[in-house]
Amino acid sequence: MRSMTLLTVLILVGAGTASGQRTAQEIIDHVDRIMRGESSRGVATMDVVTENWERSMTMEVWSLGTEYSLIRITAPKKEEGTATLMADDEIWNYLPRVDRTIKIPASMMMGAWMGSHFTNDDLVKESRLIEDYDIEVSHDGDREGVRVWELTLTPKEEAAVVWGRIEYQVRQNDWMPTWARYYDEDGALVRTMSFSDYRQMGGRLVPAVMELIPEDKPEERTLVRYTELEFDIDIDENFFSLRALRSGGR
Amino acid sequence: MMSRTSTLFRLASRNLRRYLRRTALTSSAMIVGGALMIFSLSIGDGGHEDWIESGSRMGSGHITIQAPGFKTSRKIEDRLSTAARANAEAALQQPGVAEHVISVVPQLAIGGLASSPTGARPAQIIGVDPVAEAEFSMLDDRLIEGRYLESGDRLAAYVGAGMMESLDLRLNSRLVLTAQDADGEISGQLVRVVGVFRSGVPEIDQTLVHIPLATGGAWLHSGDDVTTIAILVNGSRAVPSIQRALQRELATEIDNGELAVLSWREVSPELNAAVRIDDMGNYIWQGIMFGIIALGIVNTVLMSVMYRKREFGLLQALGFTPRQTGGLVITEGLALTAVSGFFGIALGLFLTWLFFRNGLDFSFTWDENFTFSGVVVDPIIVPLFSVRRVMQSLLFILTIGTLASLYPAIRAMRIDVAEAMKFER
Repeated sequence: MRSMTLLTVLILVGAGTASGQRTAQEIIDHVDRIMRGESSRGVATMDVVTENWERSMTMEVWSLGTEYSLIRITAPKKEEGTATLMADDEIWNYLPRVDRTIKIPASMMMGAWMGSHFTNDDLVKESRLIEDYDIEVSHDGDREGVRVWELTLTPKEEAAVVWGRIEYQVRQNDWMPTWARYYDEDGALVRTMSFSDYRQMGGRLVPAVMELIPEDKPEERTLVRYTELEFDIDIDENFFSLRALRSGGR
Repeated sequence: MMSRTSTLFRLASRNLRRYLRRTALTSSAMIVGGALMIFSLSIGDGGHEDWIESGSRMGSGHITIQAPGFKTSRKIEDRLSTAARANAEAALQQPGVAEHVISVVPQLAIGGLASSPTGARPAQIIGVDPVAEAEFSMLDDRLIEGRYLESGDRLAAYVGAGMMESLDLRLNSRLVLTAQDADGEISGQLVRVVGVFRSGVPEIDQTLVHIPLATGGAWLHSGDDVTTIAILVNGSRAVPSIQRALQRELATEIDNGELAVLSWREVSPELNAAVRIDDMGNYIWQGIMFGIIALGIVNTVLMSVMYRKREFGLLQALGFTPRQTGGLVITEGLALTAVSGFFGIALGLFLTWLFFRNGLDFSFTWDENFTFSGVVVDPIIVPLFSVRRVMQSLLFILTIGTLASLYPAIRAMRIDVAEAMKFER
């Protein structure tokens, strides 16, 4: 499925004939799927800077489709072993210090994950951008010497999304996103996600660094850097069990 | 025997009239006590009734019918089945229940999440029938901006001021509600804010969201199902009997674990505790007050016994047994307390009734709305009278009178006739 998308993308790029709306959809779909393999495993560090504190942690992440994921903190020492499991629409946390697994209610889904500016929903997002938004190419040309598309995503009439609109900038040569800006309904910028450090990982070109900056607190940020990433690994649903949550995927 | 009893009464009342000043003093204490008691009980009951009504109208009624597990889970799985709901609604039509019922509303209540670009907050989402709910709930009266839900609404939400602030919402803002649907999937629903309320209870203002029932059903794939049938009855006093009647009527469903009939005491235990604590405080205060009054009565009756040693001696010399002598003293005490208790309660009722039309305004004691456990306390307390309370008070006063006369009566019984009859001068 993943390779199908790439194939489609390649064909589209090669042909370069797709009509506006269709191209826009394909671009966003591609961007949306960059980090969504059928299965994946990765190691990432996350740096969170807030007004009052800073923290950095390293984690190992496994995923299978959109239904299953397991995240385990490996550093710092204090948090080591803390794990989050999402399986069958349930989210569980494991706290090694007290040796307890806790089921997180749905109402916590939009809570900040591990104190970062990402929400649980960002991590386990199921809805696809192309399903919820009407997408248009708003700019097709050079920005600072790079040929890019800028796409405007407006939510469909009854789509259950909070944003008033999202704007994406995507490089034309390799279809890599450079930034995404999230606006509220009054057109005010709420948060900016920027992508950088594009590199080959697990046989794919991906932005290894993602940085999220909330607009109302510009001095705060959350930065995620993937140091390892592999796709289409050999795991199945049984891997995402409460036992795996406690043992951290081992 | 009959004649002896009436003799006892005649003697007792004659004695009371003979020492008029002493009688008047004692009975005035009783009258004031009785009046205060009925006053504070009526005010207390009136206040409590107000709390209960407010709590019921803010939430799920005086009586709530829901699936047994719903109270703790608050999940959509624990909703009422269509059959259970139909049976419950039929039971509400039964004579003995129907005439007490003021309003019945269906509610689809679930815990979920409300999010805006600013963030997300846990939410208590209730799908309501806009027209019925407007009549039932107090929330539509607490409107501060916009309007309450209307029957044609679909993607509309009535949101508390606290949530508006924390999610940075305005009228017509997008609001995304997320919750687990009937199939167990997490699903989202877009609504737009049509109205804002401020109930004064922070927990409610920050979490409660009303949406049209139909929207909720479509979103959560629960169709026309509801989690809760909320029933408002004419006064909290009718609750226990209606609850029993409904439980009798719905016994099969209850045994099958399909539904439970709960009173406000079970649904809001905090409110129940608050009412009980307040009542207990009232009782303790009255206990102390009547303790003091009782001591006064003991004193007067005992003194009258001491002064009348000679009289009692004479009575016994004329054939009164010690038991009859004691009976006379108790009768005196009882007659005194009965009459003055009766007048006290009458006076109390009358004085309280003077306040009845306006209620008693306590608003000078606090500036802001005073709230606890989901109830906004109305500073104007309208007293509530009840035959039960009057009977309780009368019984209490008579008990106090009897107890207070007991010791003097024992003293009177032990009078040594020879000693009492001696000439002292």
